[in-house]
Amino acid sequence: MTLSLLEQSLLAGLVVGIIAALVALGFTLVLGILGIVNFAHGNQLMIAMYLALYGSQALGLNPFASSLIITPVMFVLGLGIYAVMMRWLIDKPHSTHVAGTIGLMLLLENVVNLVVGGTPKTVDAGFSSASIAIHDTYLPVSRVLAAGLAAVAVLALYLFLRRTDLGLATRACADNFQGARVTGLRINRVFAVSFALSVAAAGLAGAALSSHQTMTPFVGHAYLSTAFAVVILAGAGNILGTIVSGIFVGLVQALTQTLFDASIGTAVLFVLIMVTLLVRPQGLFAR
Amino acid sequence: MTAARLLRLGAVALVVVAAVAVPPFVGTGNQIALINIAYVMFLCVAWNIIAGYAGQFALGQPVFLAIGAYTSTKLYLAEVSPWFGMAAGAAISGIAAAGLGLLAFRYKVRGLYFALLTFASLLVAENIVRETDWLGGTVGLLIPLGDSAVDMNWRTQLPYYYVILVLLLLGTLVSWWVRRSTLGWRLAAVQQDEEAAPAVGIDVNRAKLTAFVISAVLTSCGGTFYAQYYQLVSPETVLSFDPQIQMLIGAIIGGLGTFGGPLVGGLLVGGFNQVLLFLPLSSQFATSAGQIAFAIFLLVMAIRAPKGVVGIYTSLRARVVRSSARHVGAKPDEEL
Repeated sequence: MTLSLLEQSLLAGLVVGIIAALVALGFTLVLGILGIVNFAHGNQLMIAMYLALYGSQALGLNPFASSLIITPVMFVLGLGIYAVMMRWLIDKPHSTHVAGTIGLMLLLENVVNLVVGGTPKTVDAGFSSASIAIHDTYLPVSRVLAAGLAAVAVLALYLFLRRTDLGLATRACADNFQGARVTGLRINRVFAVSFALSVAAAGLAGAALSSHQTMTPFVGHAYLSTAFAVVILAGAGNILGTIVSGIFVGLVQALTQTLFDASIGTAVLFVLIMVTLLVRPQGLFAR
Repeated sequence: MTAARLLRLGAVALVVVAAVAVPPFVGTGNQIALINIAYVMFLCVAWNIIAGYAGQFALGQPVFLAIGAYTSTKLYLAEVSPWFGMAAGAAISGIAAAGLGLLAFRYKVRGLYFALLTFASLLVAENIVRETDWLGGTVGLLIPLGDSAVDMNWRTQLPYYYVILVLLLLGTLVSWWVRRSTLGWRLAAVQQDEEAAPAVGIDVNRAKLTAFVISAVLTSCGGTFYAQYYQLVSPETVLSFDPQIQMLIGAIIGGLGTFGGPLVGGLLVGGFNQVLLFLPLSSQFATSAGQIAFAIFLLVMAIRAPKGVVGIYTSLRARVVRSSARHVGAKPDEEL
């Protein structure tokens, strides 16, 4: 491997990793606070990709502009999903969580498949051929912008959880649920906001990804497994760990992809996940 | 009581006789439908043993389906009978499940984390097979056409129907036996309270491991059948999350952890899919519409009736029996 190829794949990995961190943050928020593994997380991202496609085709907006509309729309969608199904799942056993969210996953992807059809689609972001030169490697502008947008969102989510009262309440629920309830927190509101934020994060990531990734109604599975890998490595509900491990997973994927190929990279990653689940289920970055 | 028991035995015998005697006269299209329904029912019964009886929500069963399918196919391509291949695949699946289970239960991976561990094992296996040319990569392996019982390869539907029917009957008997044996009681204790089970002298890990191996072996036999029937094994068909979703929907709608649940649920899921195929719809529309219906059904059942259709039936009957018991002083019948 030449030095510039190494540099190229490291940069590509960083871009993938920052977006993976955003997707995984949403996933870990729901896992840490509601205690639910959301198998539909990738499909929520897929919905946002199709919204971005619609924004581009019908309104002529590029995905970065439409992300400003898509993210709040997804937040509201999240509140809706929470009200209709998530809140009924919370006090049920894990098997019910898995069954319920797999139900949601099937529902979302098949509704999209029915409405827009299964053919792969791409958004013309308007500058798909333009690249930015960094040292002697080139990165497409759309990828750099997507990663930048994701980085801003990751930072905003981090500051929300660390600096605001609602963020504090959210973390209190994740740390000690009974204790938080005893202090009189409005648990249901914290749950609803966390879930909606998680969907909004997936939505922003989806809009950003649509600028340079192909979409199909079933694309959510790939993003779900990445989020799942990041969160297992970090430990459920660990915010800072999730950011670090998102970037780590992005780099691992990009490097193995350069050295071997994508499938072997994924296989290696999930062997690592299995080992983590066996010997360190609290995650590599747990305190 | 004996009369009720006799009546039930008679009903079971009638269903089995009908399942054996009627299909030769229903035509090829219906035979195909019956084969698909029986296959889904079989998968649901097998999954229920680990996920229902033992309460260990395994999400990587397609790994064993694939081991069964790929083992028999590779052997068949080397001119070994798929009957032997089925046994070989089942043995490998049993060993693989024992290995994974030993590791998981030794390190106390349970509940949600067992679900995630098995899910990860599926992703590992799928991605390895996709890259292995020896196993046909992403395209998969084609099974050559043939027409002989030794090769488990026919040009008509009926023999395949009897193969899957025998598998389904065997799987149902195994499920019945597990339920009624001391293993079944141990599993019930584990499923209800894993922490308390050792206190009454139950070797929790051994019980869970046995259930996992039984479930894997049965699933693997289904994989060999799938390969021979569809004459194609590929990561897309046997090693993706889709078969797992079928098992999950069927068993949960029917009633996870009950004996009759996966049978009823598998029948509903498989039957509904076949009905959709008969309607004048495009196949994409039919598939998606069917999945949407099941998704909504699954959501409602998961939230409202975690014991499924069988659970609803049992509680309704208990209510009827209780109200009539007030008059005649009879005892409620045992659970299905």
